Amino acid sequence: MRKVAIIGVGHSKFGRRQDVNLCELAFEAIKPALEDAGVGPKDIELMTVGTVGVWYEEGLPAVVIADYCGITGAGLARLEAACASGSAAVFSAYSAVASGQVDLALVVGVEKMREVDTPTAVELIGRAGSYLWEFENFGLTFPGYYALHATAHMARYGTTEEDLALVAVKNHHYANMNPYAHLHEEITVDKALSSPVVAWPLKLYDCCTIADGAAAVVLASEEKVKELDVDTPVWIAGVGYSSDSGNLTKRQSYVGLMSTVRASQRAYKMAKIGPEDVDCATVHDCFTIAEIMAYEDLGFCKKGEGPKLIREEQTYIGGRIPVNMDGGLKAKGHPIGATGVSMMVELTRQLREEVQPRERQVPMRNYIALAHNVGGTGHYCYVTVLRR
Amino acid sequence: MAYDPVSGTLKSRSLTLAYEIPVSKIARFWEALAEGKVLATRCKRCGRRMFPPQAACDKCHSEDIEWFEIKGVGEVVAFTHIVVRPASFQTQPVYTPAIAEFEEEGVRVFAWIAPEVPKRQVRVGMKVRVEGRITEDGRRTWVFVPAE
Repeated sequence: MRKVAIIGVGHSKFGRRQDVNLCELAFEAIKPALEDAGVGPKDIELMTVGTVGVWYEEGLPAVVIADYCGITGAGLARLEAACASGSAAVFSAYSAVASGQVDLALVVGVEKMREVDTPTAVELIGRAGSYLWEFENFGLTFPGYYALHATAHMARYGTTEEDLALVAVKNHHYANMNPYAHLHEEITVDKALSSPVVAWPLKLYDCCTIADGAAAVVLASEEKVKELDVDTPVWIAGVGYSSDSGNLTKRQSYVGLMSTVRASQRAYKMAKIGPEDVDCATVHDCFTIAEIMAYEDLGFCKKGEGPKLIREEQTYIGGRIPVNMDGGLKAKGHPIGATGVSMMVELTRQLREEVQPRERQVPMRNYIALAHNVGGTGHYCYVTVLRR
Repeated sequence: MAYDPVSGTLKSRSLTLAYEIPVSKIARFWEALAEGKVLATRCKRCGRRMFPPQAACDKCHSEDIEWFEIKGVGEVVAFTHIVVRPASFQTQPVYTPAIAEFEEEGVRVFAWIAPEVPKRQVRVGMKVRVEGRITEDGRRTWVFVPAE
């Protein structure tokens, strides 16, 4: 297998983007990614697109995006792994470069979720999972999936609604400094606790936003990195993946995600590192309980000690392991196909030490960063380790 | 093709989707609900117990399966009250999905806590039975009812 680097990144503004259609939104990420890499659209040999779709009108998103951006003729595929579609697209392109199939690949993550009304979006996301056994009769929503885990975690470890709110306070704090974030609003624990219930015990401020957005990265082989004379390549040092049952009834436990445990162990092994070596991480905080479970399942703390980590502010910059300095899915927004690629963009900028404003830049010790991207409630999971 | 210059959007054609889902291989499950019973499957080759029921064993791929009823007392291991509801559940009052573990039968079941059960009564550790029901609008479903 060959070494693979991220050599270009691009990111659109996340939020309700009624001003652009799918292709125009993807263009906002693709153009800066190609410019950053110093290549043109015709240099791209393969484009993978992470997107779930159905809330926007296009049936073949990869095709129309390639057309709009002048990439037609390259190899094309649309990848679906629910909210981890972006990471599935990264993994697919990574594999193509690592295996020697191509030297230059473009990965696009894009979602346009606000072309339908909120109850329709809630329904379409809720149907993801096991439709017949969990939605048809029971209308389980995505906040509901994570709320089930929250009640189990609270009953087992004494996790409180305040602990969940602390995660939201942190992620809003960093999103407020991120120009690409959906929400620019500092919040307090009281504000989070007094917000309306979505799926008990999760309240409005425990939930990520339904957003439109796009992100793109350019992947290159080591030979291509040398040929293009790239200043600061960021290497994909480890990739781990796993999955879990689409029926919650077949899961082993509801206080964590086994797919995260398995995917991270695989990624750590490949990168020859442990969780203690990671300088900063983006974890899949679609709901506040998800971030707490991620701390535990990724090995940043012991099982059940996630609440303690956030209470002690260990996941802020300056703490033991800074998490979601871009505001996370929670406050940056969660256009589901874009999220995994957005994580790569953020971590590449962190590793290049070019994050603006500087208050959002994590000080690097080992120049190692980790992205944790979950599809569904651990139905899919990808963990990617990046290294400068 | 309604163009709205104020929002700068164009309203697309609309499409209504309703799927015809084949359930003939597990028809016994849907039949039993009308008798108030909830059934699961067991693999006759390897003994694997499955809920939701399947016509083939997910472990050894044998298609020689048998049915059994979930009759015992289960324990709620997780629950939630759904307040923000999907488009097709808009007319439904707040509902309470839960997962219960039935140790005796060796399966877990996902269902609503029956709507008549007060929300305050629902907690992790609550003892429940599961029963089949036909709803007012004729849907076959299953719910948890308090066992004590």
